[in-house]
Amino acid sequence: MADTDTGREPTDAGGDPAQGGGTEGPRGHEAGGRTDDAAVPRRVFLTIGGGLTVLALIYGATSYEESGIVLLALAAVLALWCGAYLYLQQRPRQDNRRGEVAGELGGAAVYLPHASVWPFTIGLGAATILNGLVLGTWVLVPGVGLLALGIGGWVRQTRNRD
Amino acid sequence: MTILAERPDVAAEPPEPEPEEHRARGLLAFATTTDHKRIGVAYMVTAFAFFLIGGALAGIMRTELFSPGNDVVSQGRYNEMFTMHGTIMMFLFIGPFAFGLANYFVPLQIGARDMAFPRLNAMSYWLYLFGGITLLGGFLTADGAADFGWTGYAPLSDIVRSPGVGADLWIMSIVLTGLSGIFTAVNVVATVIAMRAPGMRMFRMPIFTWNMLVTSVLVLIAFPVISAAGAMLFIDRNLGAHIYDADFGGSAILWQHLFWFMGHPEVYIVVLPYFGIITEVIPVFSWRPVFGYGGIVFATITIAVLSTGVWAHHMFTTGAVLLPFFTASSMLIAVPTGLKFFNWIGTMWGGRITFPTPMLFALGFLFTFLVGGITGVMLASAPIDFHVHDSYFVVAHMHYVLFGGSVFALYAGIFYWFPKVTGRVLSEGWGKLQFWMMLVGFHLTFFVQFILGLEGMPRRVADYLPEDGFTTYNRISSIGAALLGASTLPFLWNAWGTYRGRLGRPAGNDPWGAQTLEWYTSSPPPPHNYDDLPPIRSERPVWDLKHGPTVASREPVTSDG
Repeated sequence: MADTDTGREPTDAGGDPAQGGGTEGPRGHEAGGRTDDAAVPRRVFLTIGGGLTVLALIYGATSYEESGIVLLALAAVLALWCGAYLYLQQRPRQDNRRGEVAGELGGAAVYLPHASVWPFTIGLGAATILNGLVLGTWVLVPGVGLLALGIGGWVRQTRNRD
Repeated sequence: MTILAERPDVAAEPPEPEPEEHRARGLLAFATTTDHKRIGVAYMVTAFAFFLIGGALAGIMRTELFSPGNDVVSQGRYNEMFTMHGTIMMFLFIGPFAFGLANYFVPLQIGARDMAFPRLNAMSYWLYLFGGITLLGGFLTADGAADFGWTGYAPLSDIVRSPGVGADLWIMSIVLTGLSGIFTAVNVVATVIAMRAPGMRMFRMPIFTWNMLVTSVLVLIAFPVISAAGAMLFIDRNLGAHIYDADFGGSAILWQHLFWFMGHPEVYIVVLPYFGIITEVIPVFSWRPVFGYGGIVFATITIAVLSTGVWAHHMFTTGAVLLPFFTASSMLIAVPTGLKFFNWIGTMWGGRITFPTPMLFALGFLFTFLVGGITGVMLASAPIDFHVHDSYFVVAHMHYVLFGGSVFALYAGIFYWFPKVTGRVLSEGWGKLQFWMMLVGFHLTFFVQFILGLEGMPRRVADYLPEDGFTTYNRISSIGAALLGASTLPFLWNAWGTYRGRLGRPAGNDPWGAQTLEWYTSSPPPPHNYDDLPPIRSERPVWDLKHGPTVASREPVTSDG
């Protein structure tokens, strides 16, 4: 294990730790901007999905046990699916690539509601419904009402953008 | 608790001023907020309250085990105690607390003004809170709370062997908190991908944010499985299905597969965020950048993949799983974890190390988690696991990982970020007292449990005989547990006193000489998080701002950037 680690050291950390004391320590490897930043999220998902596919194949070939194969395959599909979605959705973020632009917050142009009571209503409704399944109809019915009210209010708030 | 109360309004004008009539106060503001910071604090305070409840249950169990004989609780009650202790700690405390931290700090660390879906965020919190209350509601039912262990193994959890309503409430709670986790994970992933500020490239994100991204992917893989498994168990119990019922062609072992397919990634779900905290704390107090940034990210992703393929090492003794596959994958996962240790030590190596409380907790984490990790490699070996399965050895190992690992790192995170949340630094004196009480109490409690396990004391048993020879070790363990529990008192006193302004000191924007973006804004941050952002040219923009970009962080002259 130690061999692998020390083998990585020069490329990843870019410096000898013994010389790196104080404020001028060895710098991170990514400041140079060699990677296309917009591709990184999908690569994360595709790497995880690929790894899970390999695991699923090995497990499927050796174990003869169905539930694990299904679970691993579904997990791989989930990760690959997200990766594929990000690939199809990808839009170039020019201002994000060199890192020279400062000042604007992330997501500045997105609609973010200030306050909303509907998450509380939906949460309470969902919890009441599930408790109602255990405790009886007298709990279940108000839960359904709360959930419907919450979803309706949420949708209306999104339409009105208030 | 304290930090939920009104924050002083230090904000400058928000970019879109909120209409006055929409600004609520008090409980209504709490119920309607979509501010990721308030939701994050609500998560953390709620999770800490559950931590206190779970800890109290553990205290009762350790009191019961102090001497042979059923002195404190009956055996049935004891079963409820350890079931609820495990469930509360895993589902209601350690994971939600991490997501509370993520709620608060991921948007700040990437320079966003909120999470991507603020209302979904609030909804996750309410599902979590009501799910937790549902679980605790089991104690109020006639037959008591669920008592089949936090693993809920079939067939013990079927309607014949566990007829109580508490068991059904347990299932509903698992479904609700599972839903909450899934929604939060979606939110974190979307936030990291879509809400980063200009210049905040993926490979400039703080490691805590990276780890929360990977943790969220793991949640998306794992939590739907447990929610579905719980729903099937409910159908089995109440609607007459036989999914886990071997008598009618079902499979009891299927529950174990489904449960542990969630359960083992869950271990990493509750450990990776805390690895992230450690990776934030150690560079700051070593006065150096993190050593091997890319290596840590790589290791985290590798852990995510491998942790999905190790679930059945909890099931070795069923005789129904492929031993070589799971032994190999479980041992393999020690490699990326070891890589992280290497990086943490490399970060400290040659640095100007100081030892305020967050750093003490981080070092405590390194020592105790190492013991947990090494005993984990031992347990990954099937021949050893067959010998010590379901003994106190496993209990000790698990607590070394989840308490010695996660909770130490959690306190490191609290002491590190408390100034950002409240504007005041926690008292060092009380913090150090707490740390040493915790460290000594923890090792007293759990180290002897390794010995107890090797001598054959089974877990989940309320009593033992004097002739067993377990009495001395159990007494040491119980005394340690008392010290460990008492160590929470200095913390509560410290947090309350500091919040009220009697202890600690004012923080300013950046009390630590920190590196990452959240220390640029005021403490506590204004509702819109930032009035302006510094240029982000490396993974430590605040440091660059103060000290000037170091040589290697300058952009090289290339055509396309």
